Amino acid sequence: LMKCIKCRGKAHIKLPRHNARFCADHFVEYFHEQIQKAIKKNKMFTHQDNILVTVSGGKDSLVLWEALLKLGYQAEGLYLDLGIGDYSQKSKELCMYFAGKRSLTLHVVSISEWLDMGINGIAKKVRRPPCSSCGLIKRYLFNRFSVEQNYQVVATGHNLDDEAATLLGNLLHWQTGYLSRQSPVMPSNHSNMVKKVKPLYRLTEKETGAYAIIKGIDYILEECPLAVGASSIKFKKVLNDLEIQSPGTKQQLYFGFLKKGKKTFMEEDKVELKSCTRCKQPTTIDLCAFCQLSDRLSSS
Amino acid sequence: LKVIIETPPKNEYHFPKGMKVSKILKQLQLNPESVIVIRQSELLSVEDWVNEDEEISIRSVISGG
Repeated sequence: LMKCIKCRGKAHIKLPRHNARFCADHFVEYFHEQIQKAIKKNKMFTHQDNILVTVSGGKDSLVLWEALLKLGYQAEGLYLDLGIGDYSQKSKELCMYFAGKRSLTLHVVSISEWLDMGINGIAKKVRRPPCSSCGLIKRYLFNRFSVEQNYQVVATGHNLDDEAATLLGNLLHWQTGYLSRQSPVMPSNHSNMVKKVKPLYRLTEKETGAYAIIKGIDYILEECPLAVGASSIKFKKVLNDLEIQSPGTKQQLYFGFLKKGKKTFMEEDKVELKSCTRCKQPTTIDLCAFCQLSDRLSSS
Repeated sequence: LKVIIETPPKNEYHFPKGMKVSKILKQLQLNPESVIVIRQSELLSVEDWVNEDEEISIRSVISGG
């Protein structure tokens, strides 16, 4: 019988990269400690801040919301309805169920209120992959909503696997601009910009999944139908194959990058932020990418 | 021993005798880092034994986007 390294009770999870085995209670304690470490080390927020957690109905964002509340932080949720048929409907219901059961505040914003159509329609009209429009729209609406509603910080559910896979993709294509900006914390560099943080960046996808099971969190098991075949999934599989051979690979790749690699790219990519001439949101060009997208959708 | 793959596309497998979780994952060619294994809402580790009359669920934890 495999035993918990803390209490010698029955272990429910083995974490080879930490050479550790935990029972359910001590796994939860470990999980919370890793989040606290992420928050403190990167000065993400304090117990006085109003935090907005962007929830998708998937395991990571709901787990993040649950853990922040357990740690005593003030966190409210925002669900962005992307208008992707049954998938969006189901994921919205799961977020509402989660919030309702715990009497939490969940804001719901629909992209069709802003652009008159869902992600599918937008992708067809602009003839670009849906994930690229989706990323742009999410970043814009999350920021705009949190500025207008006076949140100090936006927290997303990105985990170690997400960050390591993104890093691998950026390295394979030498995306120096992205490499200079990839971070667990994006400070506010503009009066209409809210700080963005990723408190789960020290925890793997397997660990967030395990936490969801232990805490009985219901989340959407289906993958976004538009993300099927996304290259991030390919990178995650490759990294997990390496992780099994050499435990700690994902962590070494990402933490090593933050410590030693990132600074190399920061000098090259200094961008000046200004205000969009129409909506006043931060942008590097005159009319921001969101306003340009909006024009394109209404013109043709 | 019945194994239900919970994540779509859903699937079901049967093994004639009890075995360790690590062996089940190996037979199904699943990476233990990419899945979680559940027996009646209890989280199972790779070291746990599953009896031949029991049922377990396996969930992928990899998500895209």
